[in-house]
Amino acid sequence: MTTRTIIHVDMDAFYASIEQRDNPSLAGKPVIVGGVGGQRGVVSAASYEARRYGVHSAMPLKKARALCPEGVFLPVDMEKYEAVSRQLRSILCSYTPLVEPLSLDEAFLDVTASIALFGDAEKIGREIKDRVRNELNLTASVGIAPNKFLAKIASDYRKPDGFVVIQPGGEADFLRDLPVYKVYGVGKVMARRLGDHGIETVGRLAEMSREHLRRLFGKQGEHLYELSRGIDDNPVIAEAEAKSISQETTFDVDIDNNDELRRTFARLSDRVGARLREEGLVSKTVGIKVRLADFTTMHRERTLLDPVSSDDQILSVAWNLFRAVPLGGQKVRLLGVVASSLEHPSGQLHLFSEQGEKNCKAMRTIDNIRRKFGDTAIERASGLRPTGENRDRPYDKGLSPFSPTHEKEAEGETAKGRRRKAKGNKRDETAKTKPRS
Amino acid sequence: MKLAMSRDELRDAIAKVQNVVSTRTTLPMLQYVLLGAKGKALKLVATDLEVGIECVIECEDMDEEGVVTLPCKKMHEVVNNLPPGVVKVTVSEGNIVSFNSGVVRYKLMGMPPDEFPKSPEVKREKAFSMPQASLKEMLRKVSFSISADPNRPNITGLLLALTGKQLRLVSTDGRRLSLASSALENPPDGDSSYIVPRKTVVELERLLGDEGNVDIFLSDNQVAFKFLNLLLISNLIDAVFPNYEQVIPKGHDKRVVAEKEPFTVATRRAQVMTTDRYNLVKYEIGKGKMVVSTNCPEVGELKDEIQVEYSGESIEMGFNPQFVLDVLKVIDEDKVRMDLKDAQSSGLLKPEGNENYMYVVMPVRL
Repeated sequence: MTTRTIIHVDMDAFYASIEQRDNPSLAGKPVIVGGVGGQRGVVSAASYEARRYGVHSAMPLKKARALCPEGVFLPVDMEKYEAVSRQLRSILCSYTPLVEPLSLDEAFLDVTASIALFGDAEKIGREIKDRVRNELNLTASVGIAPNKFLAKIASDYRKPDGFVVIQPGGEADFLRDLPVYKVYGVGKVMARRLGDHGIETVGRLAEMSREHLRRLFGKQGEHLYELSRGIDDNPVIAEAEAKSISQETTFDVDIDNNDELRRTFARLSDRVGARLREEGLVSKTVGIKVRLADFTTMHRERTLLDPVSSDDQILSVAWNLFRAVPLGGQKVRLLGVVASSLEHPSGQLHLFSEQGEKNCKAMRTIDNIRRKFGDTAIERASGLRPTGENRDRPYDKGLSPFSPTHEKEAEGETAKGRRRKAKGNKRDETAKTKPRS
Repeated sequence: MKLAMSRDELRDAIAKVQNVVSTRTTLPMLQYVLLGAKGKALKLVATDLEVGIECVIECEDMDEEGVVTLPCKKMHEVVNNLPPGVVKVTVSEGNIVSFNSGVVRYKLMGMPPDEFPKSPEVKREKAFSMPQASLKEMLRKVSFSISADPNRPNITGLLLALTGKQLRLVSTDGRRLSLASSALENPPDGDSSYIVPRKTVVELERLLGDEGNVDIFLSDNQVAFKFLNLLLISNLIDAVFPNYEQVIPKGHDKRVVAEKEPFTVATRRAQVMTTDRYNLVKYEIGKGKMVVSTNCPEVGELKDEIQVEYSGESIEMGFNPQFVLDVLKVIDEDKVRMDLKDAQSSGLLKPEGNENYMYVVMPVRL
């Protein structure tokens, strides 16, 4: 392989920084994104001020609150972050089509072939940092190296606002004193096992022979051997086609109300359906994820004879799957809907209107309205939160979710207020797209 | 229980009831067959709680009446492996059943019959009778397009509709629809319709004979078929069948008549070059001929041509070849008639000269 030049761009405390940027009163304060009131869910992002208190992402919010009582806790506003992420993506894509996003806030760029156009990698890296600062009003850390592994380590090296270049040939010097747990793929267990053998830095790791490492750690050992020498041939793969599309949500308070569960499935199904249609795909396997109050997590999926992309069909499968899940009298903590076995539609037309042209048109219209005015601009009647007491719904008879319900708005409650309310009940709403391997 | 009977009769009986036995293991008793001996007859009963079947056979000797249950599959294997001739069946203490024939002695562990589900009463709110052969033939023409999609329970069964003096059987999987009709000699009063589960339909089609009548009893939630030495009782699907009459095209003005054999052969040739992902055969119909072709990017292509009777303007249709082959297989006539409109609209297929059967199939976008 010829020498490559890879840039890793990693936004600094992405979610928290966006919140600070949009609300200047938060500047300099410990901002923790992940949930309101610290009741539920985990930290999605912590500003650098909050990190000083020991708060880090994936930490339960409860713990974060204990560590940093004066922290500003904000709910995840995925829509906003996704919008900024798209802006970031368009900056990155202006330098090379070979952009591999790892998540909303980081990506690899293979600029090997771009250097002739834009000047050397350092110049490109500086420009990306400047544009992120000027156009997005945010900071990014940039790492430049001959491969992905080193580029990622480099971007992490002087975070935040870092800029680190590892020149070809400089790998060994750079890695020598790096702790082994910084190596991608070395988790707690592996770090401890390495520690048991007196290996605490990558430099020490590099002294081991390939055979020795293989004897100790099998195939993973060989991988370590290569990484310790800064060898990594993994190519940058431009935005992969989706392999599965999923949506999940953790409830603020555990739920056992069938209406609420059904409404949640409806909303998750709507989003999965919208994503499928946006990508022009249909799904042959629809699955659900259910986490109970005691953290028992169950997955169920069903392969369909006829691939689907409509919200109602996804909902119908998800709901049927859910009804067969043994809850054992427990309340539900988290629900998820996943569409997989994605394929391009076959073009087979259908006889009846539920899958017919009319319905497709209606869905396209709904998609367009949501794209323009947001997800809550148009909702299922059943998706609106009841303001009176709960009523028995005929769901279990398999009636259409569009069947009329008779909810009234509470007096004085504006549409906006209701929207906020509906939103406020869900935390950690996350969307995932797994790349096709 | 102590009796003697011909092995062949016992073997036929168990073969008839065994498909009904549940494949689910949640209720182990449903994998058993109930044997009840009374008078000179032995009755075998199997059920999965949705559909139940009873088969009555004559015994040669009956020394002692009684009831017992046996694991259905095992009993079938046992009886299959008995030598021909008379078999003596004896139940001894602990529900152990012996099958003795000559020097061959099987002992099969049974269960007490108490837990076996009770057979439902046949409800006779509506009844009619028709030749077994004609019901069997109708079923053959429609059963293949019953949906197997558990997400759409209303089409996982066959619509049995009594309209006027006619019996109509309709099935669909959402992409095609088959309809067979037959005039009834003694139709019951009033129109009504029922959805019979797929499993019941499949069993019924398998078990119906060529001679004699079948008596059909209907109620809101149950259907029963009585024929030969059998009684098949089934729950009905409680759902609304789609409005099938609405999707039967009227006024498709492009009528093509093709010989069934060459049409089948050309379609099968084309199917060779399709895949699960690319399941499309193109039919280009012009004056007097139909070009059948497929061009699958991953596999390759085929082009074939057959003679048809057609004089309208040229039209191109895309179909899933299996959907075409399925209908050609159940049509007995030599010629089929196809009424078309355009590439986005359904095709209506009928056997030439037979108005009792039709098939509506939606195209695949070209």
